[in-house]
Amino acid sequence: MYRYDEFDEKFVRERVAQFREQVQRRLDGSLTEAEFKPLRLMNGLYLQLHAYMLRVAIPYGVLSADQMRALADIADRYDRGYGHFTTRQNIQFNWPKLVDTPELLDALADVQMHAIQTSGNCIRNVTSDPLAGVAADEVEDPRPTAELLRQWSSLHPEFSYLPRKFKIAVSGSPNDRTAVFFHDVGLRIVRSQSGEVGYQVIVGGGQGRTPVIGAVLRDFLPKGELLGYLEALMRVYNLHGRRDNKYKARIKILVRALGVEAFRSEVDAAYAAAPGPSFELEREELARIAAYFEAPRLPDRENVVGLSCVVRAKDPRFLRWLGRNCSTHKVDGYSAVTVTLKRVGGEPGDASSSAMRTLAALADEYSQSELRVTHEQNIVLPHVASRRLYSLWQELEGAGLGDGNRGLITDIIACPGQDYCALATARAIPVAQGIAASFAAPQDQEDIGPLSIKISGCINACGHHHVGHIGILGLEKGGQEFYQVTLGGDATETPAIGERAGPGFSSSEIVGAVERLVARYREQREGNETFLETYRRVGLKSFRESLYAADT
Amino acid sequence: MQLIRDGRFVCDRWIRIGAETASEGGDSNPAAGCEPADDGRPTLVRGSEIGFDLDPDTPMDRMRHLAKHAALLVVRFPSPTDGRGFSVARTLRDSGFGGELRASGPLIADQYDFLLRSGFDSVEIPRALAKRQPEKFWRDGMNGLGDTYQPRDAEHRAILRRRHATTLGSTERTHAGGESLP
Ligand code: SF4
Repeated sequence: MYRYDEFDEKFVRERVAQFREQVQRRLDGSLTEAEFKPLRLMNGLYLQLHAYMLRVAIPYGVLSADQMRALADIADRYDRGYGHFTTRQNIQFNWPKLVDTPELLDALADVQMHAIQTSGNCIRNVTSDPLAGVAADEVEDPRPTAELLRQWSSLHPEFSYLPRKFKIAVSGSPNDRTAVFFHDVGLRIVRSQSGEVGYQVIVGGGQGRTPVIGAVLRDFLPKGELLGYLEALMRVYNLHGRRDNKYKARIKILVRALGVEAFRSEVDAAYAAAPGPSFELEREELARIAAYFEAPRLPDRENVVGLSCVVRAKDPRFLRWLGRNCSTHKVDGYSAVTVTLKRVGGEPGDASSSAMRTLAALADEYSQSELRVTHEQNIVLPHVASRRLYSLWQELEGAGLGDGNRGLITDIIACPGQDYCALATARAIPVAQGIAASFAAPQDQEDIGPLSIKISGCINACGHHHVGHIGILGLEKGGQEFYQVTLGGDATETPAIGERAGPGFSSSEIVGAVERLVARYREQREGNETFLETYRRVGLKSFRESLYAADT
Repeated sequence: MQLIRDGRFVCDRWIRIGAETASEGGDSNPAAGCEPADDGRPTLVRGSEIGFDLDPDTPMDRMRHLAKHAALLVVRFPSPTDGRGFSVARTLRDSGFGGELRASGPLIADQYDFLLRSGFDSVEIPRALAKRQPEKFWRDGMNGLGDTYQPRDAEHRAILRRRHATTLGSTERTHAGGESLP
């Protein structure tokens, strides 16, 4: 994985020193709160419902075991023993005190981590595929590009005071695991007809109040032109994006207002007018970074024995986990293992400091000291020898992390909702817990198969409900929470925004509503059809009938 | 307004003429001098040199046109978070403007480094703000970010150039030894 050199190290240390001094000036009054706000946001510090919250970047989702342990220590020292993994490959800590944050940032810098640009109206932490460098379907590892973008966007002189936040995702595989169609800019590494590797550029996707599927801006952008082209694109947005209304300030609104064609000509004109990007040596730097991401040398031999030892294990819980949570690895005899942070009764994405330490130790023991964080709020151990899967699973099981439910109905994404978030209109976590409890039986989950439920506590859609096969949006009317259901959303390379099913449900009705949807799917499915496939075939109407059957 | 150049509070030699010009035309609004003129007449003079105030939403073609005649361009920042001026500066510099580029508005010292790296030479801020943000803040803010990944106008602080110094050095040697440069 990438390691800071002296320059990166110094850069991050200087940010901490600078923030320490800014906090001091805020405390002594030479900075007003209004002036301080963009500065603290650029260092990941939010003012939440009850206290501050610090959001730490996990660039493109890659973590070392040592970094995970450092996060566990931070959770103990500054939070209440928990870290919350978000849907954008960040980890959040609640409750830090303003005066303590520089020290916390120091602790992060000690393990080459930071909170730079995890919030504020700037280019945010760049996200990528949690199976990068592992997945067999990859055209090219997306992490070097993501790291290049991290450096290029860090304290960019021109793009640090944008109309609104700006999120970039990079995918290296035709099968999209990074939701590239739902980012301000999505990059897909593709191969041209002549075999050259470059980027497909997608712009203007997003969720929030106005969900939009991104449009293809450039079908093929040669390598070496990436940063120059992105600067032209960002320049058009920075100059023309709306600043009068923060709900209309994202690039998707600008692209929609101009139309993709007109937006494309603006970008092309800006690209032609610029002498070159502000970041030099793009190709050289990309090559330098790529060297850090060479596939880890996996000790060969015995592993070809692989699964045969494993399959002798008869434990049905293990077999379920093996089927659901283990993915094939580029290298024969290895697997990438997903650990779902979705215990029934737990909070989606939350990890206790002891769970974090367990995962770090398991990464040391089984996965070359490496972990990944997914936008599904789960953790991946990317390089596990297949013959050791059973013993890994036993250890996970012992720590309460052995659920084989990846991608199943209990692998729910939920934002913090009213339990933590100042903007929430309803609770999200208890709904996730209610649904998980209702479908707790593993055979049931297996029978239902792949089904993604995503829950947001308000219209800002941090829980990505628009792209859930079943999306749930918590709202409020007359002091009562109610939940709107959308159906058929899809965050992958066949993107779709969920359709509104009809009137909302109260907090006591919502779990029953999901049960009726699942029952309808089981009646209607043909052969091995998944929920989404059935939905696409039979349409909204049939599911709507099941939802509102009780009323009619 | 307080003018800041090279990290110091300095006197402004430029004279705003917008107000007088406007009153000749029958408009006696004293604030007119701070508004960008849209009639093509300069709003600032220094000896025989002229300058213009630019609003960030002035069309780019018009900005480039004014830039041809100006020794000073003042880009207005309506608020510290309205970052259009950064792109205005970059675009003007890219199109070859070599005169003084000034940022004007309620900007803070923490933004100084961003302003300089975008191509500005000077900043002017309201007097009241200059009281809270004295000269020392601006001196510290001048290279406040230390080394950066985007070099452009600050060679010695350019991480990439130093990181690849060996590679670059060898390319240069190759060129020097060859017959012709591309
Ligand atoms: S969706 Fe709303 S409630 Fe949930 S985290 Fe985002 S802002 Fe908060």
